[in-house]
Amino acid sequence: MDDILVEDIISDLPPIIIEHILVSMPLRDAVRTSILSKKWRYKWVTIPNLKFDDQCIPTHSNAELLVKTEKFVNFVHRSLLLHSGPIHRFEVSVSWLRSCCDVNQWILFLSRNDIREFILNLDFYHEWFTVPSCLFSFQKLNILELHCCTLIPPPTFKGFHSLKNLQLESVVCGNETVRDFISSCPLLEELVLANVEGLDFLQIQAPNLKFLHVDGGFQEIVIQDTPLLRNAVFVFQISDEIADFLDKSGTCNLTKTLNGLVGLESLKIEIMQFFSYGDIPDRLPTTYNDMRNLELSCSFEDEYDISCALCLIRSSPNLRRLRVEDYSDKKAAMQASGLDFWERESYSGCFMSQLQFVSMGHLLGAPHELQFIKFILSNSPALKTMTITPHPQNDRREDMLIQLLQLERASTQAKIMYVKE
Amino acid sequence: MASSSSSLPSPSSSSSKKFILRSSDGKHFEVDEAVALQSEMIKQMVEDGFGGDVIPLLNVSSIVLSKVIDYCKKHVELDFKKKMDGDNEAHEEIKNWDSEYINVGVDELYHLIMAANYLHIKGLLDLTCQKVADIIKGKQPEQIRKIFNIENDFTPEEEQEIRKEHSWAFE
Repeated sequence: MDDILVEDIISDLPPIIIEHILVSMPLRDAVRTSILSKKWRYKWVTIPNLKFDDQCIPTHSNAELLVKTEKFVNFVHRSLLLHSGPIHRFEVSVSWLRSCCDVNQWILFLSRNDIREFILNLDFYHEWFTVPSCLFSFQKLNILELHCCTLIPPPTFKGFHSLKNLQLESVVCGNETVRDFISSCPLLEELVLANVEGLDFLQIQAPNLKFLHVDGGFQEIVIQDTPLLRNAVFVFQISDEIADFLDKSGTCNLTKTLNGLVGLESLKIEIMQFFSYGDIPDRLPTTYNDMRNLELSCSFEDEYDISCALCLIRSSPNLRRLRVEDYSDKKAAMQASGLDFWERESYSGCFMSQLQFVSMGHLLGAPHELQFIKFILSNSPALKTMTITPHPQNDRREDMLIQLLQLERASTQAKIMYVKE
Repeated sequence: MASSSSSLPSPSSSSSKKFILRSSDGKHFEVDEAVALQSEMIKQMVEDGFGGDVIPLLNVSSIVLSKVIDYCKKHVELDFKKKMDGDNEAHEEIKNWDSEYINVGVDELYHLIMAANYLHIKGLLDLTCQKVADIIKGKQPEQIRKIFNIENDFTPEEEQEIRKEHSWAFE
């Protein structure tokens, strides 16, 4: 930045822009502007967003925990003491903080503000931070993100009526609490639930929900009354216990969980196994007319996983982009039998008239993978590119490529791109 | 892009509606509707019935306006791409394009901020304010004063006192 202004124009920018600039930098830098000139003396004290993180105390990043905590707590206290005016966004994101009572005090202090965005991103190793009950009185909350906390709403809690964005990560909270919490936030648009301890039966009822991301070990997921849901991400962790449960229950979760999500435009599923039990239909009763983007990671040693993937593809007639990753065990995938499965599939036709981009990752060169690719290539007349990425342990790449090149393509313009890794 | 007389729609312009914007120094810019409507201010004017002929932009010079139009055009294009091709690639492309675009001197940055604020283009205002913030971030007060030509009107005693008061942010 070598051209220097002739006069100082930045100091006289409209207050709203100065505020915009100040909230775009770390709080420590914003506080330090008070020394620039008289005009800058009090500019930072009214900024509505306060973020406290490691950047508040950069010179103490390697100090011992006690010193670091003292410096950090001091920074927060001083800032709050000098700050004047409303605080709309308050964020504490430090992984090493151990001082619960200070955090409690800050939340109590904030309850006198009309706080709209509250983010608590702690990491109290084994000792979970219990969210103080006064947090539940923040009635203007728009955004709530909690990380590493225990969430116990008081009996008087009637929901957050303005909440649009809820993120609970590594939070302790049971099935009923999560269900009631979600249904008592009627405006909820974005919901992220990741590694919620105590949650294995997820029930969601959220009429305004647009984006959903769930990550964890679930026995059952029921999503109701979400006509606006456009974008959903499911990441499953399947323990032996859960696999056992899913196997015994014999329910087809594919239909049960996904059938109602009629407005989906984008769906990502990591570890298909959650859906691959019970009677998997050829197509879902619902047709996903708006679905543009599917990302699936499934195991190509398992016919059921493949059936799920095919069911979703068939139910999405306007699909444009498909991404599939193979997470199967190499040995099992290479020896997988049941290839007659594909004979049947070729009859239960599927015409993907809009599909343009396909990406296949982690390929081992296994028989089911090749059959799947064959299926896609021969049924996608609009295909532009198919990107193939081999698994690092794939030791028969040349064979795989030779086989791939022989496959018939329904699209005259389809290119096959091979990514070395 | 710029023409000094009020231009007729060019033959290449197809079905999409065009707007003509007039800069403070009287130059005319013809842009697609989608590009013009990136500006909330223009959108409001159009809704209020001013969209008919030329839209005068009294506070934006032609040099700045042409740069602002570059931004709006690119973002219309990238938004469309994002819709068609999915988020990831488009997101990366927007990020790279933005960082290249905003690599300008402080003087130009100032004019872009003022234009983004006047025209109400949120993305451009975010980008420009973030750039100023990034320039300030991590620098000593003396360096910041020098870059933006801010006069230090504190006496040494006053400055000492403020530094002491905020010692927790200066350690």
